[in-house]
Amino acid sequence: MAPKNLAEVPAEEVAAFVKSFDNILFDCDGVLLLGEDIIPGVKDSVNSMKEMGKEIKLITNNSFRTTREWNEIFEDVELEFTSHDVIFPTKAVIHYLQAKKFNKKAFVLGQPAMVEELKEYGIGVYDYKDCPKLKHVSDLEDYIGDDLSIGAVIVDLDFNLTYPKLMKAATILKRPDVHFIFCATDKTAPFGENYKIIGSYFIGETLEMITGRKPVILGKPSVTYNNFVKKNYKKIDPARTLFVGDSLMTDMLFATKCNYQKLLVLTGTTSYETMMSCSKEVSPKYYLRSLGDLHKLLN
Amino acid sequence: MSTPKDLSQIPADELKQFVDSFDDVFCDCDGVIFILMKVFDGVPDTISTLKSLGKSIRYVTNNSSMLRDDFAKKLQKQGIECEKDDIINPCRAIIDHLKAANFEKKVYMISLPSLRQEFEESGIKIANKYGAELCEVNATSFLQCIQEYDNDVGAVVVCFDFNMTYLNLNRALRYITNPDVKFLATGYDQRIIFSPNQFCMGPAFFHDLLQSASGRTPIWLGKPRDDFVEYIKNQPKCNPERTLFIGDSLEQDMGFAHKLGFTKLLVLTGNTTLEDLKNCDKEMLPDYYISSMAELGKLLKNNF
Repeated sequence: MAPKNLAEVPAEEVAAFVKSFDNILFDCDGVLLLGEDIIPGVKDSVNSMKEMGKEIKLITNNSFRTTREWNEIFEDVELEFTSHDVIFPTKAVIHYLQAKKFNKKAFVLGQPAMVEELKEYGIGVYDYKDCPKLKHVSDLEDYIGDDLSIGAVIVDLDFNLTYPKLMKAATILKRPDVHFIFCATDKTAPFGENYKIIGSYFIGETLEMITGRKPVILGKPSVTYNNFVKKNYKKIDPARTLFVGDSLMTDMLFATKCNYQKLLVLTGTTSYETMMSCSKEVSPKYYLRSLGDLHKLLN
Repeated sequence: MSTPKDLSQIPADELKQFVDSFDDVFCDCDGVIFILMKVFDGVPDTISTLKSLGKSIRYVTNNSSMLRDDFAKKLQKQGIECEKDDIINPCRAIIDHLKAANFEKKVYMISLPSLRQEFEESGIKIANKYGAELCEVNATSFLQCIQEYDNDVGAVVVCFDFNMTYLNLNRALRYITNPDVKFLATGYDQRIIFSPNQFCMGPAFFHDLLQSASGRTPIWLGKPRDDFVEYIKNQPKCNPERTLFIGDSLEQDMGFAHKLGFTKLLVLTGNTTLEDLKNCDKEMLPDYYISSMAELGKLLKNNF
């Protein structure tokens, strides 16, 4: 069945829909925020959900912010959330490594914010110095060697990734006891206006291919990531949980795999046309032009 | 299709028939005449024997990591008589392709410096003369970096670069998102062998990534790709019925030669074993095989 515009269904249907869930999981980028700005109307929609007693958490694949920076952005855009309300891959990584009693260093292909956050929580991070431009292939050997102090390779979006750094990760991963963790697995990521960049999907896939290792995926749409989400609740009933997201292959697929209800918003990576022609597996029952419209339907 | 024959075991009259069946030889390099640029023992003799029998020899390699001139000189130093023009590699194929299209804009290249040098020597302008680049690592500066767009860029060439950066890949993606910008690729290998125990990911990684992220298929000039088949077909003195291809890989060499309609000879000094022939696609089966180029030379010397 084609997705229905929640803004165009009868009031009773909206009311029944809103009654059908107790928990809401919001994706952040493209749903609540665009860059550093809040999407118009979102504050009112979030507040009206809170007033109706819905328990809200945010779940994102964005590891570009530390706990402190999440608190700052919520304050800047005047959303009543704290870093405790947001689940991001770095948190899941920290939890995962702590549960494994990890006491080595992590080799991070990711953002400075991820490195900072890991260190903040007592995870050792290997201090990688960007390797100079190499003249000969034979010089490569000096920069791609193993280091036994490293016990985990973490792959996310790394703006300063280089071939030698990637190959070093591959060398390290040849030791089977090294944890291989993959966070955001997007093929491309929206960046700035009308512009996409290469997502970390390819980086992780390449490492899988050349090492033969399978990563633990701690990001949507992985169910392993959802296991971490569940740890944030005493009890959560998927059937009475609504997932609100902007992407089909990250958000809607995640919601399907986890048996959450789905609401798609068109303020992010998915166009109306793409949504209308998407596969059944990721197709939401309802969509909204913007989450900012939701509160208007409730009055 | 018949099963591949061991060239060293066939009767003398069949061997003569085989030798008489070709005038020209296209020969792969890595795993056939050398490994890591060190020529195998006996290969120079084999090459001169073939030449003394009136055969022409050209070298077809996916390796564009050095100037063709230097490549030829390395072979000469190790006793193989050859000229720069005998070397056919993806780099040369791309330059010829651009020249044939009267290309006058700039090329954005993900490649080794040698490749950029070869392009410049052929009169093609390079947008990124200095190759790989990094930027400040925060998101704002990265965004600024990738917003720079050179309108003079008319082609992106993706080969192999061990200094490759994420920024370079994103710049390449940005250019090929414009359908007017040509997208050319070289090489094919998933893995590149640097030393006996160390292999690294090859150019296939860069191609797959850019292809998948952009939704565009490159013009792909490297074995065993169809665009490269066309290129070889159009080489002077290329008569498929009278041409032998010698290689060590089933897909890249035998499959490639099959598309060209060449006679195929597999040598076992590279990445194929006889065991591999059992499960391989018909199109990739050789007509003949022999343990090495050196063995081929001995066989020819003893019989002709």
